[in-house]
Amino acid sequence: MLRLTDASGKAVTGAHLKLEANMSHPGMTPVFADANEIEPGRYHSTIKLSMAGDWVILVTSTLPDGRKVERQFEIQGVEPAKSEFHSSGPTRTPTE
Amino acid sequence: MVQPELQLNKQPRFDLLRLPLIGSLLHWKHARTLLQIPLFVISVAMILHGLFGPSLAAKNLATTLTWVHFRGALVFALLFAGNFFCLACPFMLVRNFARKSFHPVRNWPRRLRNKWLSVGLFVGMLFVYEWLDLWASPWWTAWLIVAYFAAALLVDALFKHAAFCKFVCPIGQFNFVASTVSPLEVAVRDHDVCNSCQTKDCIRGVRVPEAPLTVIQRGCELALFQPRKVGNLDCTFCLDCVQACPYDNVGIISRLPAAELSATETMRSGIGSLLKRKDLAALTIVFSFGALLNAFGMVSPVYALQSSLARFFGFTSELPGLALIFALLLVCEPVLLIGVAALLTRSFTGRSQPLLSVAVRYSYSLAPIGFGIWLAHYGFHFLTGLYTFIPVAQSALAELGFAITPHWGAPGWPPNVVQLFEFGFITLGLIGSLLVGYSIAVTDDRRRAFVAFIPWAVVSLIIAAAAFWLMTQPMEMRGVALGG
Repeated sequence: MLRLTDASGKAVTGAHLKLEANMSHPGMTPVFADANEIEPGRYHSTIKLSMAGDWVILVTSTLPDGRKVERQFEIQGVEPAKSEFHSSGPTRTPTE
Repeated sequence: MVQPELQLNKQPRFDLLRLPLIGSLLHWKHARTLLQIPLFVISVAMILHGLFGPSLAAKNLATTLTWVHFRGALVFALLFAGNFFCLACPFMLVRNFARKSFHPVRNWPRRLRNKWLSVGLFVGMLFVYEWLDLWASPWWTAWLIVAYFAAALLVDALFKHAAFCKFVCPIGQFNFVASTVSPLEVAVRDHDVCNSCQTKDCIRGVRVPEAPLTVIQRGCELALFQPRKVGNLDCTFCLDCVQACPYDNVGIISRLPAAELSATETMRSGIGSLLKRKDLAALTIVFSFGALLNAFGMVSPVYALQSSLARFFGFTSELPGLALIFALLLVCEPVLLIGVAALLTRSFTGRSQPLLSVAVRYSYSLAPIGFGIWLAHYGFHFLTGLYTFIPVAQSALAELGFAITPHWGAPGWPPNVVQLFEFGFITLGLIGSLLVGYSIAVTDDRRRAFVAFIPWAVVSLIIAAAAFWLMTQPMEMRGVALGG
């Protein structure tokens, strides 16, 4: 779940949010996902992280007036899926 | 002249320098420079992108090319050919260019004419890699490349010959040990030609007849006299000897991979007898156990172990826990395994050799399994991330203003397919270590070779079992080091 506000804390509605998840190790393809607005200023996305470890999530918000805002955050220590066998098999982690 | 026993085979052998095109190219006086220039340009691009490009490792040329492509291409070149990365080394391009302006007069200090310093630097590199999460930091990776250029320049500005390559460079030491299992070596084609040679240009260099102190073509800067050179240890494939030989008697010739490791008693030019080289044995041990350690750093159990150590000892930072893991896996484990194996071999054969001599003699048998593990590890990253340099390069060009959209398709081969190759590489390494170990035992004591060999076979099996276990662990790529 992502919350988008302006400088005064007011919810920003009607934005288009794209998520890009990258592993900390090079040689991996990023994982992409879109976020849907489920209530004013609150956006929901589910992203499938393909490997255990540390991930960096880049959120690109295209505002209704066309401006783009980028934010980056980390998800550290994503645990391996129970059935994972050497890097194959997805691990789901909700983003907040 | 005494000929090295491994070079007495006069059967026709494959010689890369006899091939059309490739042979002509490698014979060309400027072949090395030609191969170095592309790697130098790529290195500069990596440094600039690492320092000024995106902080995400997966999107930066410095981290992607260094930790995915360079390492992978390096081990595959060593597996299928030889030490061709030292041949194309970009650090030496800058150093060779600088040597046109300065001419060092000092010799490398006598006390440092061994591998102990480079063993320490090799361990240091492995440690810093884990501690600073180098794979995750374009900034640190860029500075590491800069440091290599600076160190090569500094050392070879102060000291004569190839002091940096022979005594300092950790990548070079890795390549020297790994290339003992390569199928090609720079070697003399016909020893009879060398026997009648009066000038010894391959080591002395080609000199102006009227001014004998003026060298117009270098001989071997690593002190490897071709007729007495055995194998690939300390050979950077620089091809100076090929250029210098007036009889075109040096080739890049096929040989039995890893056979040189069992010739522990043979006197080698520039190296001596492996039996007397505790430093080279230590390098081989660090190479082999370091392969396990480096792979261990990428799987889930290492984080559980770090947490347990932190709780037990009350560590509040990563450094002491990591140092403890290094001490356990790179000192305690090898000392225990090799010590017990040496003790058992001595006991089984009933001979009164010093324990250290037994350990040194048989330690060289661990190089193939070590290389198999490096190959499995680096090969995994290389093959599963094979195509990622394309979108990363596209991103870099887009940052420069080119109208290019990065295309993130499949990163490389599927991990479950690559895993089969990993198992194959480890198995090959194990077979190589068993064969070399037995061969060493036969040379040591033909009558009791089998019993002498058993403890070392068990050591190789333990290392291989650990590697198989590691490769089946869930990979967990930790380390978020953004920027510097």
